[in-house]
Amino acid sequence: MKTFRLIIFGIIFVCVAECMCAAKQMAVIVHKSNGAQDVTTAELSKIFKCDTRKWASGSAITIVLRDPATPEMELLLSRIYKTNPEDLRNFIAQHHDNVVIVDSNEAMLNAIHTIPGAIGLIDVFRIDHEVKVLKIDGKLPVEYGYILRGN
Amino acid sequence: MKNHLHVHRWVLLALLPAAITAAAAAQTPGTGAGSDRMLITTSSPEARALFEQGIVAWENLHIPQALQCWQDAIKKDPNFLLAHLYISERIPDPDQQAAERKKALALMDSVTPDERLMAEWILDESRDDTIGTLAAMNELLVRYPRDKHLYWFAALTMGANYHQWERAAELAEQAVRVDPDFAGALNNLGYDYAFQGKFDQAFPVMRHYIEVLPTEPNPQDSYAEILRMAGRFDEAVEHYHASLKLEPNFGESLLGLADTYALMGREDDARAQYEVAIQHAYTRAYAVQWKLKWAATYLREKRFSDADAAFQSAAKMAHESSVGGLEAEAYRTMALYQTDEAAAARWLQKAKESLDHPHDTSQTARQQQLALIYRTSIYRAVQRGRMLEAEKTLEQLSKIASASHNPGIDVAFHASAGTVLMAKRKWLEAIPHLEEDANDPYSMELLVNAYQKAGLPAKAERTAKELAALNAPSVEQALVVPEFRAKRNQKQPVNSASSAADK
Repeated sequence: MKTFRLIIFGIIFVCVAECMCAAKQMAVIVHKSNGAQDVTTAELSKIFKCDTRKWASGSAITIVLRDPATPEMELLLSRIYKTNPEDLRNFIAQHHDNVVIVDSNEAMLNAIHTIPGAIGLIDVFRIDHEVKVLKIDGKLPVEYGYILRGN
Repeated sequence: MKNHLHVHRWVLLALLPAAITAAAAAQTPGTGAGSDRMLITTSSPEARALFEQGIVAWENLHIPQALQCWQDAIKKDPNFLLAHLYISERIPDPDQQAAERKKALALMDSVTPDERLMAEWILDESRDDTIGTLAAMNELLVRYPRDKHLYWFAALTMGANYHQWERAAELAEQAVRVDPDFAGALNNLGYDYAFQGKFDQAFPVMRHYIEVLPTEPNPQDSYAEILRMAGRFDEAVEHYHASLKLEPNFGESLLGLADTYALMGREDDARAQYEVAIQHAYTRAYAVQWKLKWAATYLREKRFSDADAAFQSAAKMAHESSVGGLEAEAYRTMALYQTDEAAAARWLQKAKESLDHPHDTSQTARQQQLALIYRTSIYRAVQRGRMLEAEKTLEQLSKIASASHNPGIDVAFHASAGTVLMAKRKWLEAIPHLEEDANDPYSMELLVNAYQKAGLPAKAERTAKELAALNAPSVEQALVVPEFRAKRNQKQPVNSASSAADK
């Protein structure tokens, strides 16, 4: 395998790299002008459950989600909502003024770019420059112990 | 090959009238976002042509030629930011890397915003700032959806550095859509599919790669390797021979053939072939790395005394070659399979001491190796029921992991945390940690057990199947997989029934 052997200069880890698959790391994203930097798991849970409806700046929070049955939603379902896709659909129906559903990663990024006060969720490997990645409990998605990281 | 068309286009620029201003020259070709290629700022058309030649060489894995082209470009234009950046990305020497990055940083104000994004992508990665890297990389990809070179580089970054094979495949697919005969992208795409276990998709891509470059050895070598990953050893041997027919001293195929013999159980043939490969290694570090594989053949035969002698000889070679990380790796490996506790402790101590010798290993590589040494200490302590010692070492490893975003260190921590939690019979807590290292043979074996105990039989069976089918030519594979296969063959498959909770 010339590609990876020659290109990875961290020689020791070649064998590991050959067979290592990383866990999914979901980033919580907001518009880059949003003043928020770091939230706790409890605060995040209140935001996504519509218990907190405004940012510290006073602007309204809009939650942007994928369909609850998509793989992108698995970690949010199990670790923040602690519910199943069907119950989350019911929850969304009850809070349709605060929640927007998008059907692709591109649409998720576009929603965060354009809706003031939006908060969403995307695979960290798909973030762009126009969004800010929030820390949760002081951790970024690439750090161990980050709550929305796993298989 | 299509890649060379860009070179010709750049060369034409050299014919532009001398009166053209440097700034205007810097803005051609392309007009930035919306055009096919990113703007490249340089005062010298010759430098630009050399830079592009370097990219083509890199994409075809001719790294020394690529470096030479970029260094020649800098001779023509010392302020050529992208050339400094690309050298910093590919040059193996950490001091030279740092010097090139410093030069690139100093030139940030002299280039276009897109080039600054490119610099952020590469420089942030060198600082382990993954968020910065990803944001810059994805931003550039959106701006230049038809720049196959950018997509190739991004696919490489996602696969080789982050092991995100699905995302890497998506990016390589875009590069191939732009140019269906783009050899470098076909090579990446084949591996990206193979690492996901999608061999049905990987094989045709690699066969097309062979068609595109019929006289080069690497396509045959890559095809051979993914055949080996799929367990099709005889065909792998055939294609390694095809590669060597094209270039008899092609080091990767000499090595690949040896690796395949080792996995086939032909350890005498493997050792003989590793010795040939070592003679043709590109650098002393590669020679040492391949010597470690030579030593591991004795482990496959369970000739542990011979393995001890072989690994010590590899350690000596590493020491003499000033590759401290690999010297430590030799001793760490010895600690992994010792039955005598005092001997294991002695080798682990030697591994740590090796990292303190003056040698060419970068600080990051030392930290990674130290994390692996801790991982081995924890594994052995748990095996012997010394939980206090295991937890104390885990704390040390946790500190290193907290201070770093390095994926190698991170994985060592999670594997170790999972090992400790398994020993404490905390199955559900162990699972997410072990899943972070879900293709390492030791972690996979623990995961099979954890899933069974946690009442997830379908996941247990799927992981067991993956472990039994693992054909990576590594020490860990040699120490875990043959025994696991034997045990699995002796008994019924792990409960194949799936429970409702097992999703």
